[in-house]
Amino acid sequence: MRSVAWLLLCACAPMVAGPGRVLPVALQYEPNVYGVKVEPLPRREVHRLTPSPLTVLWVEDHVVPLVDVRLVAHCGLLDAPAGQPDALRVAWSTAFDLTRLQALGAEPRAEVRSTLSSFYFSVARPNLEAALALVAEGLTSPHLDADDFALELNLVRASREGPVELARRRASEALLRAGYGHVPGLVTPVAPLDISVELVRSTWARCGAAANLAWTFAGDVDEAAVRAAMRPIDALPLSARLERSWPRAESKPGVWLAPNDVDPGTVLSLCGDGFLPGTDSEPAAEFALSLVVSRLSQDLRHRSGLTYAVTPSLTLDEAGGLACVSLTVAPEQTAVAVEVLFKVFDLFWKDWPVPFMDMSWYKQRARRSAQSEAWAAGDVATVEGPGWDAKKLDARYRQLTNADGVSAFRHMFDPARRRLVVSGRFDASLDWTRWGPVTVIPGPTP
Amino acid sequence: MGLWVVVALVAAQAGASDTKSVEFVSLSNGMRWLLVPRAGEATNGVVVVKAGGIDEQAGATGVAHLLEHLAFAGTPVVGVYSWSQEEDLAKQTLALIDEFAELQRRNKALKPAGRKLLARIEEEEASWRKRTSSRVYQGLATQFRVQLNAWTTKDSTTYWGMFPPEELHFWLAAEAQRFAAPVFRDFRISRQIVHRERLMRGDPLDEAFEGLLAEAFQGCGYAWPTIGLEADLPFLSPSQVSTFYERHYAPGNAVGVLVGDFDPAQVKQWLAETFELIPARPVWPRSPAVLNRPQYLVAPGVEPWLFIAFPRPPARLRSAAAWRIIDALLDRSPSVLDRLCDGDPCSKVVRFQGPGSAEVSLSGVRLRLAPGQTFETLEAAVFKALRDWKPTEAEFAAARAARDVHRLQLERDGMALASALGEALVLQDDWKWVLAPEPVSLREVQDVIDSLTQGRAWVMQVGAP
Repeated sequence: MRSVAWLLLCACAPMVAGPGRVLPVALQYEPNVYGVKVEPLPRREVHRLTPSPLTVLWVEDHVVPLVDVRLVAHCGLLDAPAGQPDALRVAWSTAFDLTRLQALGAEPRAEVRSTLSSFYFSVARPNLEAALALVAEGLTSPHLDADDFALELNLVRASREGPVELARRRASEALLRAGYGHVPGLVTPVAPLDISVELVRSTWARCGAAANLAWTFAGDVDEAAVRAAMRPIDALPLSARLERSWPRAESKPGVWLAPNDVDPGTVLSLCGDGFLPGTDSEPAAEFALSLVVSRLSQDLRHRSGLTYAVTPSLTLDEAGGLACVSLTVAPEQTAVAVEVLFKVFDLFWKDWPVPFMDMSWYKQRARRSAQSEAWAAGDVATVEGPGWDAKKLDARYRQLTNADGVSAFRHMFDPARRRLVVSGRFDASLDWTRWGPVTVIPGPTP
Repeated sequence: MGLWVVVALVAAQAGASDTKSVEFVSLSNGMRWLLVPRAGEATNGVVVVKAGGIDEQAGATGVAHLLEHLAFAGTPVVGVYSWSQEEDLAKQTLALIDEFAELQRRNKALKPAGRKLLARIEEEEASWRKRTSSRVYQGLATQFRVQLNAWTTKDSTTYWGMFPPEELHFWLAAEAQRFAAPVFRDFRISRQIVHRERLMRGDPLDEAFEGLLAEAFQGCGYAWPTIGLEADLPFLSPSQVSTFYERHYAPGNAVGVLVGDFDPAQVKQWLAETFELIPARPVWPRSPAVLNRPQYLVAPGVEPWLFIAFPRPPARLRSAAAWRIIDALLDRSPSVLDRLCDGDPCSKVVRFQGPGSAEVSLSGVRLRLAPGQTFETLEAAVFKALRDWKPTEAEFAAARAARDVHRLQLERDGMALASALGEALVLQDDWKWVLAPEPVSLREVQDVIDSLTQGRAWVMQVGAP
C-alpha cells in the first residue's frame, strides 16, 4: 500500500498551477493512515558518566564545535523561602561571575520552575573547560557581588509589579489552587520583595549542593571531554541532597473561576490527578493523555474551529500530580467548548473509544514523541532521575496495551475528582454549577 | 589578557564555516534550491515562498497566514475519494463562501438572505466533507514519518519538514503537489482556527504595538500584524486567498533547501520529477516597505508604557551586522538597559524588533513606568543612557564571541539552517552571508549607537495616567 501511495504522489506530471485546478491522476486513492507499521526514528544515545557520584549525562553531536551545557537543580519554587519565590531566581542570577562567562561567548540563562531550576549556556568547544571552571567557582563560593545583587533585586521588583503580571499570576495560580490549595507557601499571595544576601546564601546552600545537581552536555563532546570539563566540579564536596516529598493534589474538585480582563480569550483547563512522571506508570499516562488530546483536537479544532490548539500540561513539573488539558476559546463560545470537553472525557470514561488500530498508532506516536524528547539532550536532565533508564522506558512503551491506557485514564480522570479551571475573560453569568461546585479564586495582592 | 586571546582564537575558528559544501541548483521554471548534504542525521527540508504579510492588500490582511493553514488541507490527489466528484462541489461551496463574505462586509449577513445563504453553505460543506478529508495530507505525512510545520512572517512563508533520509522523495513529491495545487478544504473552519489563534496573543500591548506599526509604515504592507486585523480576518474569502496564491506562489518566487543525509545527484533527479514540473509563472512584484518620518504618539493601554523605536536596516546590509552586535551587547547581563535600574525608580524593559527583517524595519524597547516616574523622566533617562553608551573593547569582543556561538548554533540545527538559508536566498538573492563571519568593527557599532538619537526615534506613550 505504501508503494501505491508513493507512486501516486509522484504522478505530478500533468500538474497545472492553481488552487484545486490540478488534473487528478486517474486512480482515486484514500491513504489509510492507520494501517502501516511505523518504526520510530533512531534515537541519539544518552551516555552517563560512570563511576561518578554525580549525575552527568551527555549526547554527542559533532557537526560543529559547540557544546550546550545545562546544570539542573532538583530544587524549584516549592523549595524557595516562604513568600519569596524570587529568592531562587536571584540566587541563580547572582551566583556566577557572568562577566567572565560572557567573555567566553556564553549567554547564560536561568530558568526556575515549580520543582526544579536550571542554569544553561552554549560555548564553543575550546572554551568548555574554562566555562566549567567558572561554574565550579560559583558553586564553591557564590559570586554575589553587592552591586549586581542590588541591581538584580531592582530588576526582579520591576518585573513583578504591574497589573498585567498580577492578572497573569492569577491565571497560573488558578491551576495550582485547584489542586494544591492546602499546601502552605505554594499558592499564598506573594509577599513584598524582601530578599537579603543571607537569604540567597541559605537558599543556594540548600539548592546548589552538588548532590542535588544533574549535568548535561550536548554537542561536540565525548567521554574524555566531559571528564575533563567536570574535573573542577568533581573536586566539590558532595554535601547533602535536598530531601522533601512532593505534595499530593487534594483540594476539592469542581469548577475554579479566575476571571481577568488581560487575556483576550478564555483559557479552559480540565484537570485530573495522579500523573507520576519518572515512574513505570508514566508511559501509560502519557499514552492516555495523548489519546484524549488527539480526540479533543479533532472535536474542538479540526471539526469546529473552536480553538487553535489543545495542549497537555503538568502543574508541578517533575512532581506530576495534577495533569491538565488546556485550550483558549472565544469568550462567547465558552459554554459550547466546555460541553465538548466534558463530553469527550465522559466518552473516554465510559466507552474508551479507541479501536485497536488507533491504539497501535497512538502508542507508536507517543513512543516517538518520548524519543524525540531524548534527542533534545539539553532537556534530558530535567526529566530523568538517578534510576532513569531510557531502554527500559522504551520497552515499556512497546508493551503498552489498551488496558494500560484505560487504567491510566481512569486513575487520572475520575469524574468525581475532575477540576475545570477557567481563567481569562469569560461570561461570569453562565451557570457554572452545571459542571460542579464553584470556587472563585481571589486575585493576588500586589 | 590571556582570556581575550582564547576568545579571538575561537572566533576565528567559528567563522570558518564551509560555504563550499552548499550546492546551488536552479530549475528551469525559475525555482532555486540549496543542498547541504550532512551524513548520519534526519533531513530537514524547507520550501520558502517570498509571500508574507507585506504582500497583502489593505482589507485582506492575514491572507498569507490563512493560505499557509489551508496548504495543509490536501491536494486534488491527497485527501480525496474522487476529485471528479469533488471538484464541482469545491468550486460551488467556495463560491458561496465568497458570496457570504461579501454580505458580511456589507453588514448584511444577518438578513434573511444571508441566513439562507449560510444554511446552504453548511449543507454544501457537509456534502463536501463526505467526499473528502482535510486531514489526510498531514496524516499521510505522519505515516511516512515526516514531521510537517509551517510559519508565516511579514516577509515570507516557510513550509518545513523533517524526515528520515529514505522518505526524502515522498516529502519532495508531497510538497510539490501542494505548492502546485492546494485545495481549500474546510475553508471556514481554517479561517476560524486562525481567528482563534489571534486570541492567544497574550500580550495586552500587542494592540499598542500594532498602532505604532500602522503609523510608522502607513501605506505599505508592514503596517499590520501578520496574523491579520480583527476587521479583516473573520471575513477573508476564498477568492482573496486564491488571488494571493496566484500572484505569489510561482516557482520563481520560491526556493527550497535541504540539510541532511542525501545524495545531491539523486536529489537533482527527483527535483526534475517533482518541483520542476510546476509551470513557470510571472512573479508579482513586491512593493518595498517605507518607514515614515518619526513621530511622537500617544495610545490607550491598561498600564503606562513608553515605546522607543529606531529604524533598523534590512538584514542583508552591512549596517545590519552592526545591529546584530548591538543585539548581542544588549543580551549581556547586565546590559546598558539593565543599568537603568541601578537606582530607583526602576522600569521593566522589554526589547522588540519588527515587523519584518527583509526591509527597513524597527528595533526598540518598551519600558513600564515605575511608581513615581513620568514619561518625560523615563524618556530622558533612556536617551541619556544611549548617548553615554560606549562599549569597551572587552564587551565588543564578548559580543562577537556570542555572535559566533549563535552562528554555530544555526549551523548545527538543520531546521534553523535550512530556514535561514532559504529566507536569505528568496528575500535577498544571497545566502552566503548567513554562514560567513561578519567583519564589523567597534567603530561601526559605535556609529550606529551614536545614531540612536531622539530625532530619529519613534516614541509612543501608552496608557498615560
